[in-house]
Amino acid sequence: MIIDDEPLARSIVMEYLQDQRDMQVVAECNNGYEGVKAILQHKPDLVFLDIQMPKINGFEMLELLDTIPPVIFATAFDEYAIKAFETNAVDYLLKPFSKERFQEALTKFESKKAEDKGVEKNIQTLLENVDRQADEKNRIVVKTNSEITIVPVTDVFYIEAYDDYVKIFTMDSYYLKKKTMNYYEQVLDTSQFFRVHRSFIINLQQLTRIEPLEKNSYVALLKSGKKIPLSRPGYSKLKEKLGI
Amino acid sequence: MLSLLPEETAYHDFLEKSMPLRFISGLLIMSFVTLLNWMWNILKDQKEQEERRNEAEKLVKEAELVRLRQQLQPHFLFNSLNSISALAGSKPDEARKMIQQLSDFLRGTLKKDEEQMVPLNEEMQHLNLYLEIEKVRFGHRLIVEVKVKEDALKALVPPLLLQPIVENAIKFGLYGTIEDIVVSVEAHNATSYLSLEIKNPLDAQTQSAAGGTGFGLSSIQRRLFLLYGRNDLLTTEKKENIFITRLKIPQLKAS
Repeated sequence: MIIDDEPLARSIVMEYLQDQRDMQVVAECNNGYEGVKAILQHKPDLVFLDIQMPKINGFEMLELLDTIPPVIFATAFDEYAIKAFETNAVDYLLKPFSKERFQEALTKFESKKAEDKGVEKNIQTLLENVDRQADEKNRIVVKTNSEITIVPVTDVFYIEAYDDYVKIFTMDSYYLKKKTMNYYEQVLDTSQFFRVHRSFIINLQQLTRIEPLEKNSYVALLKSGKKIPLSRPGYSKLKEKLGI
Repeated sequence: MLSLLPEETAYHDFLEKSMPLRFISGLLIMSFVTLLNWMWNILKDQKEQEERRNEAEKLVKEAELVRLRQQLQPHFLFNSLNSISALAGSKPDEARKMIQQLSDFLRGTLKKDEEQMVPLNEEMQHLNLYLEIEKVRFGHRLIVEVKVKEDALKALVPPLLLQPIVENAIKFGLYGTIEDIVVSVEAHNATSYLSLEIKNPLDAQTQSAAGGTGFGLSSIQRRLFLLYGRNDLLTTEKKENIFITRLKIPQLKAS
C-alpha cells in the first residue's frame, strides 16, 4: 500500500514495484484519513508511508491503528523524523530515492519478516519517541469508530488511565488512546497539565479549587463540576506548583 | 645653576621662595596636559569603538537580511527533485521543463543584492516559476489565481519578498486541509504604497490546534522592519474560512 499526498511520489514507488513479481499494490492513498480506512480494510503486508501529509501526518495516522502494519517511511527532509528512525532501527527512504536504494529497503524488509524481528514493536517505540522530540504537543489526534478528530490540547479537561489506554476527556466527551499516563505526563506542557494522581492528569486551566474529601484526602474541582481525586504526593506537588 | 648668578641675591631669594609655587604650578600644568592627553586618547578609543560597533551592526544586519531572504525550504527542493524523477521515465519533456523551472527559480534566490529594489514584474516572474512547480506537485489539488494591475508591475519591492509569503499561504492551505484549495494573489497601486493581498483557505480544526498566529510570517515582518523601520506593513486577517495576508510596500517618490 502506498500512502503519499503527492501523486508523482506515489507513481515512483509504483514504477519501482513493477519488477517485484511477488508484490501487488492493493491501494493508493492521498492522506492519513484514507490511509486508516484502507489499512483497516486491506490489512496490507507492507505500507510505504510519507510523513508530511495534510492535516494529520504519517505518525499521527499510525497511532490511530490498534495493529500497526510493517512500514517503510519516506520523507524529503525532517531532522526529527530521521533521528527517530535511526534510533529505533526503522526503515526509511529519503526522497528522491533511487531504484537501488528502494530495493535495498525491500530486501531488508523481507529478511526482517523472515526472522520475525519484532518490526511492529520498533515502530511503536518510534511513535512514542517522535513526539517527545517535538517542541510542544498542541494537539491529540483520536479516532472514534469511523471518525478521526483532531483535539486541540487546550480542549482537554483531564486524562484518566484505563488499562492499556488512556481516556482523554473534553467538554462533551472522551476519547480512547493507546498511550500511557507517563507518556502524556512527559509530552504535555507542564505549565498547563499536571499529574495529580497515578491515574489522573488535569488541565490546570480547568481547575477551580481544591476541596477536602474525607479526613486526609483531597479532590480537585474542575470548572465542569467533575471532581478529580488527588493522591497524597499529587496533592502536595500540586500545592507547590500553584504556590499555596 | 645658582652659582652662575653670584651677584643677584634678591633674585636668589626670589627663586628660593617662589620654588614651591613654581613647583606646584609646574605640576599643575603638567597634570593638565596629561589630563588633556588622556581625555584625547579616551575619546579616540571611544570613536574607534563606535565605528567598529556600527560596522559590526551593519554586517549583522546584512547577514540577517541575507539569511531571511534565502530561507530555502528543503522540503520544496527535495520534493521537486522527486517529482522530476517521477516524470523522467514516462514524461521526459515535462521532466526537462521542470528541471529548467527549478534551476531558474534557485538561481533567482541566490543572486539578489539586498539593497536593490526590484520591479514587481520581476518578482512576479520569480513567483510564477515557483507556482508552476507547485502545480505539478499538487496539480490535482491546487488552483492559483493571480490578479496584478498593469500599473502595479512597475512598483518597486524588496527582492524575494513575495514568494515566501505565497509559499507560506500554499503550505497552510495544502497541509491544513485535505480538500482542493484556491490561493489568490492580488496587487494594485495605492497612494504612495503598493498594496498586495494573498488569500488561502483555513481549516477550522487544524487552525485552532495550531495555536499562535506565527504562520511563518515572522521572518517577513522582521525583514520589513529592518528595511523600512515599520511594524505595520504586514497584517493578517481571518475571515470565515479564509486567511488573508496584506502587505503595504512604501513607494518612495522619485525626485
